[in-house]
Amino acid sequence: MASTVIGANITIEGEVIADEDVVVQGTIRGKLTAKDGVVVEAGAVVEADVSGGPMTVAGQVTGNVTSTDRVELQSGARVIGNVKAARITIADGAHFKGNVDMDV
Amino acid sequence: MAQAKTTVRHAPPPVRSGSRDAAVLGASVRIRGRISGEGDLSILGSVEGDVSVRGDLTIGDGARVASETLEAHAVTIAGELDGDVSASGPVRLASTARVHGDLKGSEISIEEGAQFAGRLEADFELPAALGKAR
Repeated sequence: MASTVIGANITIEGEVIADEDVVVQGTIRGKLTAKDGVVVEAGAVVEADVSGGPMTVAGQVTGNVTSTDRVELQSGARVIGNVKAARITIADGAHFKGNVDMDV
Repeated sequence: MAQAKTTVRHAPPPVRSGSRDAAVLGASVRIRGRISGEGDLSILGSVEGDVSVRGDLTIGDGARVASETLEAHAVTIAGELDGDVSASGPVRLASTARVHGDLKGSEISIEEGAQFAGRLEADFELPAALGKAR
């Protein structure tokens, strides 16, 4: 269970570092570094470089995404930036502009 | 037996007790920067920077907050705070609180065991006897 939730009406401007799962429903501007999973829910706005474990994006991300595991862009997601991950899925209906680096 | 046609690829998201407005910053989370918002906020980790929320703010036991200004409605502090609190509602220092800074609120309560260094500012009417003495 995710112990960190950045609620829909919360805005963080700065650097967020977490050793646990992070669920973003609100806004982050700056940098997000997680050791574990990151979920960017629909309606969330992340204007930051994001790095962490498995990532699920249904909201808006502007910035580079780096994952040690997999990145899943769900339908409705809007990602502008480069994605670096071992595995990536882009669902039908996801918007994505950037490069993919799967480290092959 | 009929089976559901859709296959679930991922476990359903965990049920969260709080409302969608609530924000919880877990114990391992460190934030350097400004936090603002409309909803409630619970800080269990470490925050360096200003915090301004419309809802209630809780600084949990074990949390560390260093900020110039901390604005919220009701504020409950059970952790460590270095900075001033400006609350539109009540301010409560739990027994585990360690606070260095000024507190302003509609009511202020400090539990036994709490450590506090700073000024208190609360709007209340002095009893008539004390009022005359001034």
